[in-house]
Amino acid sequence: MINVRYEYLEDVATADIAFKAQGDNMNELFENAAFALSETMVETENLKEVIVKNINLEETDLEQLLFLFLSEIVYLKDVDLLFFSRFEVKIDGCKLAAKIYGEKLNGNMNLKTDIKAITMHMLKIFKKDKYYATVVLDV
Amino acid sequence: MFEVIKINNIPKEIKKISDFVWEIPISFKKGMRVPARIYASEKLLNEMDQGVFEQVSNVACLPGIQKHAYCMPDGHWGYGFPIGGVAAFDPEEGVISPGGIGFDINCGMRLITTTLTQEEVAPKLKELINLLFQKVPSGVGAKGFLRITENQFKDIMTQGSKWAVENGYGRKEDVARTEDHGCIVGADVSKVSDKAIKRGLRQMGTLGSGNHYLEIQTVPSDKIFNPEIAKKFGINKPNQIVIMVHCGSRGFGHQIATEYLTTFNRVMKEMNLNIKDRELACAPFKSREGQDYYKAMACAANTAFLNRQIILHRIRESFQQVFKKEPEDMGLDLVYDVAHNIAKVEKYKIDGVKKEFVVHRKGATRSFGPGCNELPEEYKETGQPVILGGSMETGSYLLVGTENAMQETFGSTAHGSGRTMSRTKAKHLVNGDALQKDMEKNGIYVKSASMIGLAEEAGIAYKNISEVVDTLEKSDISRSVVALKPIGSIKG
Repeated sequence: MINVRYEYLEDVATADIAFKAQGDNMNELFENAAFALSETMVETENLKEVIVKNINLEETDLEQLLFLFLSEIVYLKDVDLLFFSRFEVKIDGCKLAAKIYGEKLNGNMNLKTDIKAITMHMLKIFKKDKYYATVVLDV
Repeated sequence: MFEVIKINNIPKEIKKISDFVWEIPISFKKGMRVPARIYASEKLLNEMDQGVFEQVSNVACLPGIQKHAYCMPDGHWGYGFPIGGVAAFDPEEGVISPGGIGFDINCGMRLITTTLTQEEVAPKLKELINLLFQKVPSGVGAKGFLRITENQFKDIMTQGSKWAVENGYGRKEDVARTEDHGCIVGADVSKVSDKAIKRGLRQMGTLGSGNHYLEIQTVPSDKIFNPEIAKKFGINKPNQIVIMVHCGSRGFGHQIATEYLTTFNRVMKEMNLNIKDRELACAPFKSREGQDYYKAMACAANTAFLNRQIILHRIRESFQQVFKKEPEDMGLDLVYDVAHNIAKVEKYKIDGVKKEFVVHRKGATRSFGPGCNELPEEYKETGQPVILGGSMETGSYLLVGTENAMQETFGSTAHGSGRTMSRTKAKHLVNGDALQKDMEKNGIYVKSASMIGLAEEAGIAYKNISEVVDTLEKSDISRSVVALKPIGSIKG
């Protein structure tokens, strides 16, 4: 299924889930990768934006930074049962400052696939006409 | 730039060693230190995805690897190592890699026998499954019934299954019938982050999600292949009811793996080390980082043994409640518990010399043959029980380890039937609700925390497990004892 923000890659990493996110710039790429991760876990359409979390991270390169950012979203799902639908990301070099909006797990949510972890397998950020990132999620 | 490869290309360099063993020579890829060996029938080999060949040859490039990089017949495209991957490293010159273990550290299988028959259980099956579904929580946000303090959790990290038995959640013999007696030596709680503890603390006694399950199975009368060994493993009559559990260290293990993967990648960058796949990030086993990860991994492995032990306790409670009998009067004996995502220090005789190796198994099971000191007394003659989890629709196998596995594969064998279709594709093809109804029509009552998750686990997404078992038999890295058919299932 083609989606403007991301698409799933059907034949990659058989037991897991892979997607390719895109963005006009690095901020948008990170936002869309986070959105793809959220959409894999839950139906984001009806999520309320009642909780805001600030995430600040620094890494040695952008791919590691994306890995850490997405891993943080998985962590918040497991520990605080939080799911997010909107992301505001600012990338400055290899630093990230993000505000992410969502709500706590409740009976109205339609959960989809539980994600254990973000993998570094094929984790790639590249630029063609736009910025792209490929990510494989461990299910 | 990344491209999706859809064509199934067996490398043209591949050499046939026997009808069931294939070798990718070191000329296949620059940097390979040893050849890669794939255990598969010709049919299974043809069906393997491109990722397997790429990944197993990447593993063959890692420093200190011994003999071969292996892929078992259930192998498929994973991350880092292929699923079904096995590699042994020299402890002095070799590495340890979180990508050779997986995020779900000590994901494994546990098989429990009962004295009950299918006829006795059938009238109460739904009640039993519904109760187990409550008592062994699964899916996102599930909290286990075990309420423990952080200090108790730390005790669990270093004691594993023993902690459960000492605290009233098991029998003494459960510990003996668990790989490494349910406790890997060397666990050090100071190597584990507070974040990992926070993530795992409330999850002990939960099943998780993905392909994790708890199944009520029966032994079909025509599927007892080795009655003598079956009897030693506690399976002595047709239609006997057994229970199979598949799960791991939950969020605790996932967090440890995530954090050390980041550490290893930073270290490799600092040292200007290049690897074929970042997921294969590694550190010398004897380095500080390598040892720190091993000690943290052991903490996660021990909590996984504990988790499966707590689940066994809840299974015993559920049977007691439903059948109104003491658990001991229904058997409910543990046959064995095996890890299939792990790295461990094990001794093997190679070229006449017995020495230690750091054996990584990623979606591969230990398959120790008869006579191994590590086995409990009752299994010393038979060899180790090997539990192969199949798809929820088609069934599973109980096998036994062999002497040949000790010689050929560092005492390793397959872990399941292996996926052949991606999750994304499976959920396009299968509707979870319809599948649940179909399965019930076919005599399998299933409850799942997620209908999408259920669809992803449909039988069509998996290889034919009989084909996998046939390869294991013919290559003699394990021998089948009985096949098991599901009649009730809880899916994560």
